Amino acid sequence: MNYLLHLLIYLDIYLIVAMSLNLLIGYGGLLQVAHAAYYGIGAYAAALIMLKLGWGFLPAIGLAMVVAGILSLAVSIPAWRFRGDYFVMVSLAVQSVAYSLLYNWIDLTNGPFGLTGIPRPSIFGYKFDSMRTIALFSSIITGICILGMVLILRSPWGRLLKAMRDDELAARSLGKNTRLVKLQTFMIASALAAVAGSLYAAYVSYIDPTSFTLDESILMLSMVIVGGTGNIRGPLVGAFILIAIPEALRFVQIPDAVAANVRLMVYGLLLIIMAHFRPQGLAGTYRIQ
Amino acid sequence: MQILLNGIIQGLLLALVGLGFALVYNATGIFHVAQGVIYAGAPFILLACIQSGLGWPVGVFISLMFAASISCLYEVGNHWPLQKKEASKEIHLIASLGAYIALVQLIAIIWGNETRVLRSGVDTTFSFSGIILTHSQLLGGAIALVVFAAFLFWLWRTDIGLRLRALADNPIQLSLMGYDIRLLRLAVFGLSGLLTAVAAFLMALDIGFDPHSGLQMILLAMVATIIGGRGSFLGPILGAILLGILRSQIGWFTSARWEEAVTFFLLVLFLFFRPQGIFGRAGRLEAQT
Amino acid sequence: MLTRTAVDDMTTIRDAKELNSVILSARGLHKTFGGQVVLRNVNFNLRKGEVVLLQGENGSGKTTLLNILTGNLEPDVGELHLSVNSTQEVFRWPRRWWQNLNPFDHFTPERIAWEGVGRVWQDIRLFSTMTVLDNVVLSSPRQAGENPIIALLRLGRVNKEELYNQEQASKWLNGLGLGDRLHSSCDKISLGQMKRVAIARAVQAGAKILFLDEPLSGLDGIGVAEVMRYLDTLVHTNGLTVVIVEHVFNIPRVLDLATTVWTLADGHLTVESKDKVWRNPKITTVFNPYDWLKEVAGPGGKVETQELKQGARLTSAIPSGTENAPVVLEVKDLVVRRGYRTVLDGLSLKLHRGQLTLLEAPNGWGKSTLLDIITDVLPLQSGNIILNGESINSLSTDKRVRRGLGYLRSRKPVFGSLTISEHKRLPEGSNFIFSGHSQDGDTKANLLSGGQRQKLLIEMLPDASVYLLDEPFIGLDAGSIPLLLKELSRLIAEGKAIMVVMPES
Repeated sequence: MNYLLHLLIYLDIYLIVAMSLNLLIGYGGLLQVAHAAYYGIGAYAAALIMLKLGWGFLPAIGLAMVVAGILSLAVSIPAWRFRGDYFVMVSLAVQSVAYSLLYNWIDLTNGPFGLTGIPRPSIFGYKFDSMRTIALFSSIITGICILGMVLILRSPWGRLLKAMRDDELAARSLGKNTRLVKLQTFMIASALAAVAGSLYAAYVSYIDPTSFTLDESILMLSMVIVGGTGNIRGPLVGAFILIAIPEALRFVQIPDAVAANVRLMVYGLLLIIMAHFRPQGLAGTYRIQ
Repeated sequence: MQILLNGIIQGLLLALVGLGFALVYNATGIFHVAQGVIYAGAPFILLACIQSGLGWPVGVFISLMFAASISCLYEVGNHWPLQKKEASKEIHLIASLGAYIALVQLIAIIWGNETRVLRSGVDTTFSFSGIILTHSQLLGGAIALVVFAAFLFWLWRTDIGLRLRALADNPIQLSLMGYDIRLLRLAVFGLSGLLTAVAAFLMALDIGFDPHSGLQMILLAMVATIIGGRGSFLGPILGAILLGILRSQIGWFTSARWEEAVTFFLLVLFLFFRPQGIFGRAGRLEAQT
Repeated sequence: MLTRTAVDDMTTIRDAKELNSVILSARGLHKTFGGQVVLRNVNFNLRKGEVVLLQGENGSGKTTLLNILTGNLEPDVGELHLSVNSTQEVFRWPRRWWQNLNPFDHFTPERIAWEGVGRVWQDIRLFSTMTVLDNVVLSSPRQAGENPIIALLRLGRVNKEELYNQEQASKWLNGLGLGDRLHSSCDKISLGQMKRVAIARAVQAGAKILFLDEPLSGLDGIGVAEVMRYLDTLVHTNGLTVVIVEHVFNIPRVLDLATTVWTLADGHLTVESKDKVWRNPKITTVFNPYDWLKEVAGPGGKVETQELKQGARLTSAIPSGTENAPVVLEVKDLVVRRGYRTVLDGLSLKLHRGQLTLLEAPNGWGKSTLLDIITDVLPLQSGNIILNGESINSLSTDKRVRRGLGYLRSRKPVFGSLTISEHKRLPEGSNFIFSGHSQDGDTKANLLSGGQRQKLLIEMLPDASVYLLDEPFIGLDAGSIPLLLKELSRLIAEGKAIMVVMPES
């Protein structure tokens, strides 16, 4: 039972990641590989705020979202100017810088040794300490995030986002400020990634830079592309598959030493297959142009 | 001065990878992220050859052939089919990222994740007027220079070199003159594989190798290519040398954590203020929206 | 009540104040692309309520001017004054470097759109994943719901505004006769309907000046009438000012509505009243292709014309003795779709040995696309291509060329970074010779003028049994055209088949 709850918590975390990345890629048409960086920034920010400043969990998440949102300018401003694949490479560079800072800025982040003893979430003194309460808590947070996403995607802003994705120049000639839209999209997506990161940090109590590498970004990209882009269902499918594959691998008795490698390899292969045969993913509606 | 020479030699080796990257980029417009697989994998092949008693010359030859063939197979399997489907550059990039992840994991599964060395024992050093350079460094620098001279001569003086430059300029027009683009692309990928493998051997000789060292190099190669300018071959070489020098200077005077940031800032600087690079033609700048 | 009479110098009976107000003016616009001057000292005053026809040859700079006036491109030198709303905005070039630091002061399409300038694109560009209604509702300006925070927190207010916008847009579209298509996706409506939705979209966004790029291209008679009627209403009932870029074929329809004519030639813009132009129509082509066809057919030969779909015409010069000549190139039932539009719908044609064929079609018809597909520059979707009796559907471009297909593409695709001599090293033998290049062999091709590039490309055409030439005369100076005509006539006499593609005259 506890194991299933553990899976549920991870599902929640990945759902938030998948939905936020889908906002960028599926609705905004903004392909990028720096998402793990903002996930990591959220995790480290929340952890440091709780550890060093002693704040509660919700204020910590709030501040982590703000930090990630501001730092999203590093990708959103280049997005003003650069076309698709160039922009992906810029995001790759951003991811590298972020990782390098997390790894090398030992004074701030403890570098490769990571941060230990991150407290479990507590709100107004009530501590979510058991598996059941944590799972409940994470599911509620995820539910709120999903609700928020659905609302803004159905709003005029969401429609404007899709118009920008379909034909940015036509949207601009109608007077739409697509630069602002890009800024907003990246801020929202990065803030959500930070929420996921904070949940992750609070759950596992120990984080180090190796969870926030480019491999992780590509894994997230895979999850969204395989699951499907451009609708609400796709990320759900994607997150679910991401959880399911390691379990399936365990079933086939792949030795633990190579399990992580095999999992990544499967994801790489899925990415290639999707790119060649089904760019809209398994459950998506928008084909990446 | 020591730092400067270190930087130059780093830059020269980086320039080999950069030239390989630029070859593919100029000829096809694709960001060849999967080149990192060749970079990571070639030393393993060489090590396997050495360990099975084949001797260095044979080992190097076999590994180079391997690198070129894998590179060609990759083009046939991954990029050419997408080209025929008129896929966007983003799709090519996604397929390339997927291939990178999948194949690097394969290397790690076969040979493990740890760092290896090509030679046992300490490297011999040479010193003059207070500067110390290792045998690998000198060998690396010398070979790189010879390769560049040969390549540039071939590019500018031979007919095949002319066709390569024409391919980089206007592939459709070239095919309208009766030249087989497929074959030329294969040649480009093969050559890129060779150059990358040479760089990988020289680096491996100097500091060792592991399955994950490829991506770092590709990122730097990409920045060097953009600094050098689209359509140029000399540009990426010089850009890489510049990058090598800057990184070692910054690494020395501040600390290692800022080396990545240098790469990123240089990239963004050029993309914002001189997107055509040092040698590229100012014209319609496809990098921009 | 607004009335309109056609008098010499445009003093129609309107509100005198409105007639005189200049809402957009340009001073000294100058633009160079890679060594070629495209716009030279362009000046004009656009007044409220005018309907302008902007005409000029392909390559005369119409698109460049259009791009500048809609914020998509910056000129090298010049000034633009916009007084659409009550405030006046001035843009001057060259811009100072510190002006670009202020992100609110950039010259962008959205900024110009905010000033009341709208654009209808030649390829329409509706948002394909949205319904027709959504395309128009989306364009409503100043929506509170476009701020994500408000969209999240003030749901009630956003919904109310949205409902209102939808009602307005529905009324608008109903008036256009699209009431039953409101919730269709954009690929299910006709081309004429698409164009009108695009116009409605721009007007909904608040355009007071509307730039339309070849709005009538690809339309049949009914479609043209619908669009022109719509524009007429917008001008006379809603007070819109309109600038229409159109190509020669459709100009008469536009002239009905137009008040002024702008002509772009050699980078210079001439402004005239409509009536002056009507009385003195300009000859827009440098030579008459029909004279040439007659000459090639020679005594005893004939010239045959075939009308194709959507306003295209195929004219063949058949010299005596070639009436039963074998077919060199045949295209059967070619169907081409780009996105959700069908560009060519079941096209068939034949080219015979020793015959010259001229294909004339309006812009947007698909001339270059046709040639691209015959040569595998674009993939074949449906149909058959037969060269010298064998089907070449599965052959790549280089193989088709080696079997005897020669193709001169439009838009001067030289190898910019290669020198002239290097260009000449590439082909394995060619048929054309232009004596005496004015530039020496070591000049890089990207420094050549348009005409010089054209000549270079012609000289590089490989030996072939059939030549496809896409607008080969564009940019050539008056002296070179007869030379080219002579060379082509010579090749016809030698038994080659040639198809020349041109915009209609």
